[in-house]
Amino acid sequence: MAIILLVEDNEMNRDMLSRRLQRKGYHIVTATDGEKGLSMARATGPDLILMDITLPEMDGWEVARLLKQDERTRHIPIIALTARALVSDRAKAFEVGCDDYDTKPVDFVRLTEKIVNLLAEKAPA
Amino acid sequence: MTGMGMGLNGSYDYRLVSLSVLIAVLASYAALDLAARVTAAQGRVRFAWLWGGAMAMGTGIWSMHYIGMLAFSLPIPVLYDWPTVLLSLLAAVFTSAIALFVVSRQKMGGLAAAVGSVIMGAGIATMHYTGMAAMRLPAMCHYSAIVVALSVVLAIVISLVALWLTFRLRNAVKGAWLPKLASALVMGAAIPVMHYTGMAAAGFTFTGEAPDLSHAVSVSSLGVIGITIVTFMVLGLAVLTSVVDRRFSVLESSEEQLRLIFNTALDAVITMNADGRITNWNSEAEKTFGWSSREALGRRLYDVIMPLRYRQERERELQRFLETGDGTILRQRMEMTALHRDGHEFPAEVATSPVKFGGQWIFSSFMRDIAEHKRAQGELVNAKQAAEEANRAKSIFLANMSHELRTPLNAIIGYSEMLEEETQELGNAAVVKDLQRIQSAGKHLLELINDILDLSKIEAGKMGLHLETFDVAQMIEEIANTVQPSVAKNTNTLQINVAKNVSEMRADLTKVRQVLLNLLSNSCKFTDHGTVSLTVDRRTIDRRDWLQFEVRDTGIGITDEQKENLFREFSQADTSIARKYGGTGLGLAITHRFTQIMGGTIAVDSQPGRGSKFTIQLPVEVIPVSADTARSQPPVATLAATQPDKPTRGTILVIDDDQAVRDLTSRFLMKIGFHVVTAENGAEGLRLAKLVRPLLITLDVMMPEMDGWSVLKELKQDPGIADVPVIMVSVVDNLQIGIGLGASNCLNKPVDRDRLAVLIEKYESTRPAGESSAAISEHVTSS
Repeated sequence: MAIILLVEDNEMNRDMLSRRLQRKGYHIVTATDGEKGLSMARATGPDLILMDITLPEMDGWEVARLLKQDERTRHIPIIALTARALVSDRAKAFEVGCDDYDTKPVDFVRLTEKIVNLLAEKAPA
Repeated sequence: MTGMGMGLNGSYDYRLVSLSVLIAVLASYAALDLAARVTAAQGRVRFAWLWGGAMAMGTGIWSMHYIGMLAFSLPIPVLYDWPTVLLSLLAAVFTSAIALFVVSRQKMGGLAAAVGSVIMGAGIATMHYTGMAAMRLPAMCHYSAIVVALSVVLAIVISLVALWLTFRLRNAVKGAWLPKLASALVMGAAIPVMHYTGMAAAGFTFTGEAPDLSHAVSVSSLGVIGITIVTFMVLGLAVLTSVVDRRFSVLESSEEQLRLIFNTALDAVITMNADGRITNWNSEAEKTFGWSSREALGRRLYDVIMPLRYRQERERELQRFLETGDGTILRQRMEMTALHRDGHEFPAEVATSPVKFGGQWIFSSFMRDIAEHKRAQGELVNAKQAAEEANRAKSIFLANMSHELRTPLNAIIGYSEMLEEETQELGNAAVVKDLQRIQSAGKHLLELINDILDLSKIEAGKMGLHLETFDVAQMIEEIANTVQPSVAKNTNTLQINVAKNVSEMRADLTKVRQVLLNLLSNSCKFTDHGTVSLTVDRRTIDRRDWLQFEVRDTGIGITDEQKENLFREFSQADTSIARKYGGTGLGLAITHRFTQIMGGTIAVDSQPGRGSKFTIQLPVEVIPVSADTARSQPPVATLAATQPDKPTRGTILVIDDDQAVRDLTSRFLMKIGFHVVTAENGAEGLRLAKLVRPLLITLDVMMPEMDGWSVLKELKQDPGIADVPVIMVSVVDNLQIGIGLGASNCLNKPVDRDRLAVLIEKYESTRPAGESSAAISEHVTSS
C-alpha cells in the first residue's frame, strides 16, 4: 500500500487527516514542522507528500523547493495545502514544483481523488 | 366813492395777480427741489439746507402774498407798517421750514402729514392776516368769519396736497422734471387761491381817521419791481444751488458706492498704476496683509505684499507687459506666495486684470488668503487616506481572521465526517443524522467565512484574476451537475440552453463558476415546484464579443425596493428572508463584484410573484485588471519588421542574449507569419512581456545577470502574463525542472525549427490567431 507523508503542524488536523486516510487504506507517516518533514521525506521516501504551507521552522514552499531540487526526492508528488485559493498561492505552488494543490478545510472526497490520480500517474514510471 | 362810513370797493391789477401766481409756481418748484436736497443731506449740511430752503421758500410765498396785496388797490392811499410786514415774512419762513422738515423725513405717516399741514396752513394764514394787519389806511378792516374760516381750511388742504406731492416727488430721478413741474403748477395755483379767498374775507369801510403811521411806508411801483427781482433772485439761486449740489453729490455718491462695494468685497481688492504703486486698497486688503489703506496707498505694491525673493521677477514681468503687452501671467488666475506685514508668508490666490484708463494702464487684482483652504484640503486628503487605510486594515484583519477561523473549522468538519463514516459502518442511524447536522452547520459556517474573505479581498484590492481559456459548454455541464441537489430540493426543473455560437472563453474559471452557481442556487432557493433556466449566448456589442448568461426562474421574485439593496453586502432583500431561506446576504454582492472585476455587467429584472431574471455579460476575452504598468512606454527593443497590412498569426517574444540566435529565430518565425519582438536580456524580456503580452515566449536559460529560470519565475508570478506559454531553450539537457517552474515546454539548442513550429501551433490553437496584437492596442486605450 502507498505511503503518504503528511506534514502538518496542527495536531487536530494531523490526527483527523491521518486517521481518515488510514481508513482509506493508506500508510501514513507524519511530521510536525518543515524541517522534520524534509528529513522524514528523505528518510522514508514516501509515495506522496501532503504538505501544509504555513509551518514552523521552514515553510512548506521551502520544503517543496528543496525536495524538488534533490535528485532522490524529485519524483515524489507533492500536494500543497494552503489556507485559501489566492491566485498567487496557486502560481507559487506550481512555481516551487508542487504537483497539485488544494485548500483547507479539505474537501476529503476531492483530496482523495487527487491522491489517487497522482499515485496512478506515477505508477507506470 | 370815498365818503365816510362807506364800504370801499377794491379792484385788482391783473398783471400783478399773474406775477403773484408765477412767483407761487416758482416757489413751489423750488420747494420741491429743496426738499430733495434736505432729504439727501445729513447732519449740519441738512440743517443748512433746511433753513436755506425755508428762507427761499418763505420769501417766495411772502412775496407772492405782497404782490397779491399790491395787486389789490383801494381808492384810498394805503401804507404798510414795516415791523408787521417783517413779522409776516418770519411766519412764512417758519412755515416753510416746518413743511420742509416734514417732507424730508424718511417716512411721512398720516399723523405727521395732518399735523404738518395744519401747522403749515395755520402758518400761511398767520402770514396772510399778519400781512393784512400791516396795512395802514384811513379805513376799517373787517372780516367775514365764514370766508376767513374757509381760507384757513383751504390753506390747510392746500398744505396737505403740497406736502404729499413734495414727499412723493422729492426723490424723483433725473429727467422726471415733468411731474415735478406739474405739481409745482398745482401748488403754485393753489396758494394764490387761498390768498385771494383771504382777501375776499376782508371788507374795508372808510373812516377818515388817520392811522398810526409811526412805522408806515408806502409801496411804490419801484418797490414792486424790487420785491419781484429779489424774489426771483433768491428762488433762482436756491434752485441753481440745488442743481449744482446734486451734480456733485451724484459723483460723490457713485465714488462712495464703489468704495462701499470694494470694502464689502470678500477678497482683497487692490489696484496698482503703471508705476507699480498702490492706488486702491480695500478693507479686506487691510485685513489680509496687515497694512492700513493709509499706509499702503502710494507704496510699491510688490514691496508691500511680496517676499523679497520674488519681487525682481515680478517687476520684470510688469515691465515686459508694459513694453510688449504680453500679459498672460498678469491675466491668469494663479497662486502665489504673499507676505503679511508681520513677516509671515501665506499662499494666496490672485486674479489680475490690466485696464487701460485714460491712456494709462492700471491693474486691478483680487486676492485671497487660501492658507485655510489649503489646510482644509490637506485635512480632507489626510482623512480620506486614513479612511482608506482603516478600510484596508479592516479587510486585512478580516482576511487573517477568516484564516484563523478556518483551522478549528477544518477539525470540526473533518472529525464529524470521519465519525459519520465510522458510525454508519456500525449502523447507528440516529447518531449519523446528528453528525450530519454538525457537518452541514460547519459547512455553512465555512461558506460564510469564504464569502467574507472574498469580499475583504476585493476591498483590499487583492482579488487577482487567474485567466485561462476554457470550454464554456463543459463548464456549464459541471455547474448543472453541482447545482442538481439544490434543484431537486424544491422539486424544480432545470433547463440549460447553450447557443451554438458559444465555444470558448478566456476568464477566471473559478469566478465565472461561482457567479453562475450563486445565481442558480439563489433561484433554486426562492422557487418551489417551478423552473430554473440558464441560457448562454454569444453576442457582439461595440465591436467586442460578449457572453451572456441568463438565469431565469419562476420563483417569488423581487420588488423594486428590494432591488435597490440587492447587490449590497449583508443586505438580503428582507430580513424575514434570512429566517425563512437562510443565507448570508453576501452571495449577490460577491457575484456583482466578481462580474465587475472581469469587466462584465449584471442586471436584474423581476416581477414579484412571477419570477426573476438575472443577466450577466462577460467579455469573451477578459482583460487582466493588473499588470498594466509601463504599458504606455514604447518598446525600446527592436520590433523586428514585418510586412505591413498582412495579418499576422500573433506576436512571439524571443528572449536570448545571443544576437545570432535572435536573428535566426525571428527570421524563421516571421517567415511562418508571426510578428516578432526580441529582447537581449532578462529584464528587458520581462518588461516587453508585460507590455506586449505575446502569444508565446521563447526563453534562453543561460543569460548573464538574470538567468532564464529567474525570468520564468517572474513571468509566472505576474497574474497578467502568467498564462503566456513559455518555451525554454537551452543547451543543458535536463530541462524537466523548467516544467516544474511553469514552463510549457523545453527545447534543446540548437533549436529544431520544425519542432518549434509544431509546439507553437499547439499553443496557438488555444488562443485565437491575431489576438495578441489586437489586445495590446485595446488594452492601452482601456487602461
